[in-house]
Amino acid sequence: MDNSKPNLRDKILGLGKNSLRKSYYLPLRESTEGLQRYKALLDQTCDVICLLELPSLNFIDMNQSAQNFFDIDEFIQGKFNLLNKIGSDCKKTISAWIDCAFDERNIPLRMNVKHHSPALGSRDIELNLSRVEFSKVDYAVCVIHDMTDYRKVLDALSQSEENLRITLNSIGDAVIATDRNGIITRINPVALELTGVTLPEAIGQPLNKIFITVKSSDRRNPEDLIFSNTNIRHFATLDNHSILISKDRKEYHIAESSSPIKDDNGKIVGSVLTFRDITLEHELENKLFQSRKMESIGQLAGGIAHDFNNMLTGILASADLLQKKIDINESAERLVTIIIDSATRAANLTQKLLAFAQKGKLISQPSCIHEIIKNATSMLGSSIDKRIDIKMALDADNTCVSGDPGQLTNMLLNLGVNSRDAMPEGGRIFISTRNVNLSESCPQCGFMGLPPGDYLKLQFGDTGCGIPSEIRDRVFDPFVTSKPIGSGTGMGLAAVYGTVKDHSGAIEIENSSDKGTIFNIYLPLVEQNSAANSSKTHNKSECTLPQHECVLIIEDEEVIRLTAAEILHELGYKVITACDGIDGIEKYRDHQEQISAVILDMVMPRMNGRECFQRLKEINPEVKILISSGFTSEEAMRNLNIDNAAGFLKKPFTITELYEAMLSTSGISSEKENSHK
Amino acid sequence: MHTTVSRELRKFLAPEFIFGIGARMKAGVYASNLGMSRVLLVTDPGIVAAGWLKDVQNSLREEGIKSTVFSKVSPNPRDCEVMSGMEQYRASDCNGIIALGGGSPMDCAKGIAIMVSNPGHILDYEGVDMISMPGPPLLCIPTTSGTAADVSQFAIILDTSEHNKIAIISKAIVPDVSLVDPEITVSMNPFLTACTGMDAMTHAVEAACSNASSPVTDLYAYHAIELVADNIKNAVENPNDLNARYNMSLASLEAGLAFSNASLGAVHAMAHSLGGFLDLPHGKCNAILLPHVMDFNFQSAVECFKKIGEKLKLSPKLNTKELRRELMQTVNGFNRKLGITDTLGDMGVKSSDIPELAEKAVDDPCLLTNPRQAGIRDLESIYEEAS
Repeated sequence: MDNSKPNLRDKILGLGKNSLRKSYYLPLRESTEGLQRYKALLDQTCDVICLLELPSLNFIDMNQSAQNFFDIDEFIQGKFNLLNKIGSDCKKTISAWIDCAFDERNIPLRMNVKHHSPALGSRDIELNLSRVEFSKVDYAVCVIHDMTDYRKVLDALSQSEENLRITLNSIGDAVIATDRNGIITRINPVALELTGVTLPEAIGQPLNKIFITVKSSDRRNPEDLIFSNTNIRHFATLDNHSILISKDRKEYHIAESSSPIKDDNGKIVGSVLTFRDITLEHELENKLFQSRKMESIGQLAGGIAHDFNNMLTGILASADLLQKKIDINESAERLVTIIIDSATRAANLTQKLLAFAQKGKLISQPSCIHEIIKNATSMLGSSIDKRIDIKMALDADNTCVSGDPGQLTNMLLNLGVNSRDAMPEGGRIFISTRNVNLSESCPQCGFMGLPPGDYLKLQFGDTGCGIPSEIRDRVFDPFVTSKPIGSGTGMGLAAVYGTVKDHSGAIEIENSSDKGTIFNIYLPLVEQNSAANSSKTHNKSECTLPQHECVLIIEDEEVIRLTAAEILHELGYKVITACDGIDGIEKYRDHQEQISAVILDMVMPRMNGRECFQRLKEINPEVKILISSGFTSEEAMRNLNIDNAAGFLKKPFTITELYEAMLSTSGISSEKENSHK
Repeated sequence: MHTTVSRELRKFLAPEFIFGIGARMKAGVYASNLGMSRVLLVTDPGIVAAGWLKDVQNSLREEGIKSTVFSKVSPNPRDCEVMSGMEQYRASDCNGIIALGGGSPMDCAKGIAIMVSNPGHILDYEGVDMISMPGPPLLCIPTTSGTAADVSQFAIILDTSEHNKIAIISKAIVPDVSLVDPEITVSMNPFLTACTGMDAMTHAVEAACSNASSPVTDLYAYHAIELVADNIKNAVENPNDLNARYNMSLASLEAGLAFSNASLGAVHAMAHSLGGFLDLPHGKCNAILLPHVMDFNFQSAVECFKKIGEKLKLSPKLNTKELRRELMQTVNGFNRKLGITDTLGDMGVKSSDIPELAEKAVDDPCLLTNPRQAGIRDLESIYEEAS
């Protein structure tokens, strides 16, 4: 015996550890245990899992859940059939699937149906069928998920989602929500409209691809509203100076703010951005700003123009006198002409400056309101809808008002345009006038602040849609309009109001309903004949020197005072001068008998022209006062009853202008005319 | 009777087998019992020509069992044949193997079974108890009487790169069922009958003399010696003598049961080396080497050889020396009468080949149970004596 190989010998004797005949015990046990494990696994699964014979659909195998689901107490292979255990409504689909289950594509079947389980009641199920091959035999694997609870959760979720959606859609502001990476997860219709994209275009996109803004100040990209160093900001509100650029390149001024979305643990999971279109407000703000700016410029320009005018008066008048007084040679004559032309151009420039400021534009001349109305309606008639009929009842006897015919025409045109817009289908405009006397007790004199007296009442009505009640109180405020955005400035009635006020009048809405609107305008009347007075041109060669007349000049500007005195002296008047209102009063008292007329400057220190005017009238109600002014503030003009003045001398003035002004002062002129006769 | 009965632990393993005329017709039933539905039928072209395959296929068909035939098997089956058989098994999705033939198809079938269940190459499983996973069901129908592969745990495969026969010895390759049908053996020619018969004799003698023999193996070993001695001449001379064929089949079976459990000795160790080296018929090699090995072993197993003398009908009165001479002459006599007269030299073995043959033989596991320990020099001198 070979003892060197004891192990090998044992093996040959059949006594080795592995000296077994074929034994399947171990592998069999392992595979059996494996199968039991799988069965336990399958039985513990909530899903219904079955193996079915094809094409009969008899159950070959099923897990415990399937037995419960199909209410099978004891499973016997081949005894039960799927088609007998499932609702009749899906039998057809399953049969159709079997017909095509054997083709190469082997498309699985998935269907969602209602199922009535004897044990579990009505259930929503998802039934899956697929063909499998095992040992060259075809079977179907049937897996059924019970979706009932899942469906409930889904329904609740979708309800909640729907509520959220409706809420978001109902918000008047634009809302965009993003995840923590700035990817858009929600967007409401207002936001879609402003950004110009559709819902599918927006969802899933980075916010900065959809919400594109620039700063309105420099059109640079603004700092990121949502992210700060890649972290979501805790809160951010930007000023209202962003411009949103929509997909179709439209631009909107917006006001925007963002805030983080936090989960229950306070962790930031996204952000929500809200913004609104403030383009209109922005425009109004701009207009208001512009208007205030213009007002300031107007004040400034008015102030400069005043001083300018005074100086130009001196230059012009002096040049005039120079031309007359001395016997100058030809070349000197040409130089004087240059001075006069330049000064005249400068005076025109000053007038333009005042016009730009919309101040001092008021020409206050006696005007016939009926002529103005006729003029305006003929303009209106050619520009408005032919279906709008304009009726007039011009019954006033006295039609003379003091003011600027251009502004009054514009006022009527503004009212007409307003009426036209209120009557898109056509209608009627009616304009009537009559004379009224307002007493102290009437409402117009009360809250409208009109002094009692004779007025022209202009009634302007239409048969339009009326002014909405919510803006009726503010209808004369600037920028208030009932018209659609873009079609009205809201300045029409404000301008009307301004014009009426400029003319010391008042305006009221008598009535406004869906049947129409009626405005009443009151303008103070002046004497009829003053309106007929037209200016005459006088050649300086025709000027005849008056005799023994004495004129008091009250003027603070020495240049003008001396110039005017020199001119009047040249014209043959005696002249007394005063350097301000108080000095003027004293001088008038001292020489009242002598003085036949007063030239009164309006803007002076110590005592201004208006007070001085009243004091002079107190001393002698009959005194003839010629008002001299290059510019008077609106306020001053309104409070001055200029109709009591004998005339108006616009500074700067030439000799001719001064002479004509003196002639227009009736007393003087008549005496002068007489003296000529 | 010898008195030195071994009391060591012994195991006896035998497959389930059906023995008798017409046993082959049970192929279908047993294949079905073993759960086969698609069968790899391993055989060789000679068997196909003899018509035995049809009988088996008909039997399988009756049971609804499909079969695919693998018949590319050489005498001394090759490693590559095992591998291609395994591929055919897999490609045909078989679930069982039936071997129909002599030692070569049966050993090849065993190799295929190993490779179906285990990874790697068939040569990886050389040695004892190297197989961890049993193969699929294996049913053997022997067509010769001698090889006994139908009951043994042996499979001998030719390593074609080394020209060496390797022995795979494992209980796992004992067939599940053997159908031993003496009727099939009538188709063997006289020379094949002689060689396989002397193979059976060698199995029986070596099992009897093996130092791993046991009382149970002895029962089969000595009875097999007696059956071969009494019937081999008749079987060779009268191929259709069913009685002789029956007894030779029984002898082969019994010798197989004996050596499968008691193992073999130097004859097989040397014959494996020889067969691998020159691709010589296994039975013939055994027959030539047997008398020389018996002479070499005699002194180490005198009691065994006394019993063998009894079975060979030698006089019980012979002394040891006479017995030794008589045994040599008797075995040589068988060979001569059966026409096995070549020496190893006649078969092409040169004296220069002997050291290499001995070197390979000394490593053969069969040498382990030889009653007398044999070194390389011992084996070389035995090869020389047989040349």
